[in-house]
Amino acid sequence: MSVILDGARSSGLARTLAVKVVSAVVTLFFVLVCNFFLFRVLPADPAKNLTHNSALTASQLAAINRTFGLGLPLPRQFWNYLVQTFHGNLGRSFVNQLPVAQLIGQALWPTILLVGSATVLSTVIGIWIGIRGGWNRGGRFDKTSTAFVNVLYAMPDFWLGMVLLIAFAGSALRLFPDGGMHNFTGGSTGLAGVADVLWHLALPGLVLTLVYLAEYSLVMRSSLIDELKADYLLTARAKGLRDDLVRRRHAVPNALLPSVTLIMLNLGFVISGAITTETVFSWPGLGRLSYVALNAPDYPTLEGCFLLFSAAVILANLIGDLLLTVFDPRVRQA
Amino acid sequence: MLRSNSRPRLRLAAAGLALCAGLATAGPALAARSAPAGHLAPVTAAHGPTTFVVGNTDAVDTLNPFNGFTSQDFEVYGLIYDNLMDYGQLDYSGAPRLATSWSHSKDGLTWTYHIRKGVKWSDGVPLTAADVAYTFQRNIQPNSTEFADNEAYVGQITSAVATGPYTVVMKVRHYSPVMNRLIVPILPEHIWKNVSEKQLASFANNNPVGSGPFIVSSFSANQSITLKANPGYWGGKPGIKTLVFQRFDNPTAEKLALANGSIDFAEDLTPALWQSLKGTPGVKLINAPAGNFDELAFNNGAATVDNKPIGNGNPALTDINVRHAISYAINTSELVKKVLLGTGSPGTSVIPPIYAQFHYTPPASATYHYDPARASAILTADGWKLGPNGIRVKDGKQLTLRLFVRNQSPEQEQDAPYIVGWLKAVGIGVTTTSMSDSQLTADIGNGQYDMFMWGWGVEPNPDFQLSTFTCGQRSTGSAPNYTPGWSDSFYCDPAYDKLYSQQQGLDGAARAAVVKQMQQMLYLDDNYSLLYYWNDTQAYRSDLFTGFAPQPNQPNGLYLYQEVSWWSYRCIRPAGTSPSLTEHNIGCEHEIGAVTAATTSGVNGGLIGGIVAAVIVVALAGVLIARRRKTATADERE
Repeated sequence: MSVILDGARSSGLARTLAVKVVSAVVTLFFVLVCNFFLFRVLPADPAKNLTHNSALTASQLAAINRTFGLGLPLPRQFWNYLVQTFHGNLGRSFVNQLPVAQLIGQALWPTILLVGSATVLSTVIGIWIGIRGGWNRGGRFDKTSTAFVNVLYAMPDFWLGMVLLIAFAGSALRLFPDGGMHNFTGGSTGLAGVADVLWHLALPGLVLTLVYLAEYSLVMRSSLIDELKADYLLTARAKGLRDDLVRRRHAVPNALLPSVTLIMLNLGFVISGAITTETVFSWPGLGRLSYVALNAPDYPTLEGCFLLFSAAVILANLIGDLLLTVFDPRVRQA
Repeated sequence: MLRSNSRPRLRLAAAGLALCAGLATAGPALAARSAPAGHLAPVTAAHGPTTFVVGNTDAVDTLNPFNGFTSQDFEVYGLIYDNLMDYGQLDYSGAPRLATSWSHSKDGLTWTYHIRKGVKWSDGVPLTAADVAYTFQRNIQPNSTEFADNEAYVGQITSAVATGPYTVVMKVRHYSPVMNRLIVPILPEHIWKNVSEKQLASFANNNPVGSGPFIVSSFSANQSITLKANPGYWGGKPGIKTLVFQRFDNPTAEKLALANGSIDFAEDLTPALWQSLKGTPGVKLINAPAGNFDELAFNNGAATVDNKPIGNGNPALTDINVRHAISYAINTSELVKKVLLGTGSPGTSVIPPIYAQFHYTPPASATYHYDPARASAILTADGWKLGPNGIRVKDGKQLTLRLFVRNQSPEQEQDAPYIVGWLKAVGIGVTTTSMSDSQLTADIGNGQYDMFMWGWGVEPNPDFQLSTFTCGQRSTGSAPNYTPGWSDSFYCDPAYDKLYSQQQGLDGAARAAVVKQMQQMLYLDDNYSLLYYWNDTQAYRSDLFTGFAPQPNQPNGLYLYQEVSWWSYRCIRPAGTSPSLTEHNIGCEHEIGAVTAATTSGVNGGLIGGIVAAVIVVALAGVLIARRRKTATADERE
């Protein structure tokens, strides 16, 4: 798959890339607009949240609401929203008045750590299972792994999480923590701190890895099976290549394309996290943040989360598109 | 927050619940004490014996008290900072904390507070009257939204001045009983004068300087916070060295953690999880009445403050007989049993029974006990005739009402089918709709409802709760979106409003009498049908820790998460240790040890039976083994 870039082709490629980038930016802008108006349709009265049981007058309550930029004419609010968002200011939480950007910043890394490491692990393991099973379709490994993977695919992650939690954390053994990301005694730094986080990461990470790997393994297996009948494999074998090399050099690279698409799609969802798993294991990530914000309801925080989630999906799709453009000549020419 | 926003037990977003969460009198005294079971299966704390770990479904999200919102935030602020005063452990009367004594001028307009001497901030700077005056000045700045939390305490204050190093004088617009109960956390002027109103939102205050019994040691926002005992605390060194609050999003994990000893106290468990802890070795359950109630609210005739009718409420509900019939048709005891699993008590008047001096108990003859026959009779006498489909009809109109249910409350969603069935049985048709809290708030403000279920957390000071039923709390503004006030039943009676103003200028027995009279009016007018007072279900490791100071001072009082109070924390100590005189803290004289010795009521009968049975079995087994041994020896001798 060598890519020869002569003049005409490279300008074609540049145009394709430009079109994709521009359409991503336009999509993002539409998300921004929807995000704003969606939350303006809902009734909001932060003053009542913030004043607790105080018998404030209606004008005092209105004054507090004004500090959140509410009560202004809608076009004015929209303009403020656009300007502030481009300056990285996502507003203040209706609940604790903290800047939303700060709340998201605190929750972002735990989610990337949890969902990101689970995605990497499940991709590697899932694709390996898929290749091994698909290549020897109907073999013992294939039969066992397909059955196993189908069970995992059908399993709700919160349920698996609860079972593992009760088995490993809840018993008197206390092999793993009951939840959270750090030991509360805190203060562990350096290697001890890393080990502590890994210890907390083990169970939720395992749950997500098991649940995610099913999808990768099934997709990889079936696309590899599709390739098995392809003529070029026969040619490769006829050239006298070892079975191992036929698989590694010819079948797998071609069968990987659907998996790459799937991985890139899923990467976009990494930061929207795994709400249920984060909740079962009290993991302080973005999924939990949006769940709590939804309950409050804390619209600025929700708006910020939605914007970030959408932007991540759009960005991951863009990167996936660009990668495919580079690697798959058919896409480039289309 | 005004409303007990979420599920009874899950105070997730129920912000001011720290400020408004409550206790109630004896509900079903279920305080099931588990066996003295530390002996059966000793559990070692996962942490040291002087570290006390509290699990909760809520976490501290900020240490800046201007920004705090959750009940967990306020639970920690009350430990880092000292309030000027506290609600007393025994009866919620004003108790000294930083103020040792106070008095007022004859006209009640000038109040003098004497501040405790020898108190130091955690950075070593002495705490003086200047800090107190500064805190109040910051609270009462005109045109400021700072400390909206404390409005209920400082609303009537016009000035606060330090007239000496340990004397603060405050002026008020009118006499107020609140001046005897200023539960306001006092902040160090030398720290906060550098934080302007604009800087507040972004000021993290991650290393707060306070004067309270605990000092922040490490803090992880939304996860856990570790506090160290303040060794120089003026009230005595706390009985534990370290205090941790850990968040659990998953209450099942919290329950498991208590059972295996990872945590020592579990707050906010669901009734089902709480019950499942029964019989766990070393764990004691507390079924504590609190200041909460849930109600079925009626649209008593929605109108704006200037008496302009609004909305589309069914006019049948403005007929007091229909409301009475509904109250008689609902079996509140059954709801307590089936929905709360016994962790609550049937509701009557709007100030919960834990506030004994304010709670109005209707006489038995006037109580709306479950009586469907009576409900039917009231409706028939009122002209509502049973139609062919089982729904009553009057003047050609069917008696069908809308019931709005909050989709954020699993308990209220469970209540709904019971209520629908009971009302159907007396000929009232009901259509239920489940909706979000914000949608329901908007619908209520516009008067577009017939009935809904929600609840309130009531503070020890009944003023705010009573104010929600005044005419001035009805909606304002204009169609189509009226601005809701706090009133959600649109109750309006000038006689009630008059009593409301009257109680604001009284204290003690005189005020209590007026407060009870107001509740009686509400009860007889039936603007709400109270369903139940729901309890706070707590559990702790009684094999590892002791010394709690419950509020009210009874075995099933609240152990922690008390109503705007923090009595236990300074007194908790490892089990098996006795409080040394020097460590015996102010406020710990009413700890639970004294109470349990005096009374054994509240012990679960089944459990006692079980223990007795176990003892008998063990004794029998012992006798048998002894006999066998004897026989064996006798055999061997032969």
